[in-house]
Amino acid sequence: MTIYNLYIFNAAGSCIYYAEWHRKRQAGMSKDEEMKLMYGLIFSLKSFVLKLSPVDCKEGFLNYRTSKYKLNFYETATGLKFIMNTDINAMNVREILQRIYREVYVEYVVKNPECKMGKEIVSEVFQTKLDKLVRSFPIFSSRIL
Amino acid sequence: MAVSVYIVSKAGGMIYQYDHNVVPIEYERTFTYPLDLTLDYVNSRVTVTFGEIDTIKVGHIVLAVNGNPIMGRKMSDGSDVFEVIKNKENFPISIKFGRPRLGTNEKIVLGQIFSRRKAEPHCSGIEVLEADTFKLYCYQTITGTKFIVVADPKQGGCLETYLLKKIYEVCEYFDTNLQAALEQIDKTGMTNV
Repeated sequence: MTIYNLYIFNAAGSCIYYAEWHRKRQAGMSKDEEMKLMYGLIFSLKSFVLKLSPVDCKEGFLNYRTSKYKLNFYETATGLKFIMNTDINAMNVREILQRIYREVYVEYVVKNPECKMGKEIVSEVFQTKLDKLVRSFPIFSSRIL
Repeated sequence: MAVSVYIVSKAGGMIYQYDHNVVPIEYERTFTYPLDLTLDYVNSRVTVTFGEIDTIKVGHIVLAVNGNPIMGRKMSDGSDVFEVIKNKENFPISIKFGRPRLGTNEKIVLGQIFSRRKAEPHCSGIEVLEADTFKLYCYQTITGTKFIVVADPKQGGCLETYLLKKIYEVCEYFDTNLQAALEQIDKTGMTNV
């Protein structure tokens, strides 16, 4: 079990934070391009899910899985988007993302007057707290399968 | 339980589509002046953009006013829906709302949305996509044809995988016919098999 990486996008669609732990393969493009592609993917998946759904959606898109990884998505009511790539067996990643939002983002970004809303997060304390929290999860294992 | 099946060709064209047991969501309600909902004209449909009452949700479209079906924003007698709901004399008014259903063109567009992102080497495309109201299963053959099943999220996963394999088998069985048909469709982009 592993956690590969984490993206945080603001409501306007720019990436405000990116972190990676066990990512073996790089995208072969600049980070800037990758973030745009990622946001485009999420945006189209969201509208796709909304249209395809046979009944009315509440949360909409939750996650998708390929043969090698699983992409988990959580959006807050304010439009903040958390995307975490994990291995396919990881369960309840949504709760992890909610905890990251509640225990790290709100505590160390929203309550920090030095952090400008909607701008890239450069706070070192956010970085360390996030890393500590992610490493404490049972699905995070340093052992690469 | 609603199940839809989509078959998408290598190039992303919709070859076949089938909906099973789809219950249309429609509600009628009588309103007094002023209307408690905000209606707007979105994608050539009169859509609810704000205010949810009972079963009427944001995103639902107006299907009929006083039993008159509407086309775009016009009623059958040619009057504009927004003019009608602005006028106090037309109240109480009975409006029928419904969840917009997908047109053939929209289904074709949806068939093309299947991209890939890779965090690990030698990875396939999307196999399972989960939303709160449905689960989508996709099986891609070696030749690139995709079989897609949309099902209830509560359903067991193995059933869908079984269903996908079965659909693939059925198509293999009609191999010669299907092959010819698929080639024809790949060339012309026809949607009815």
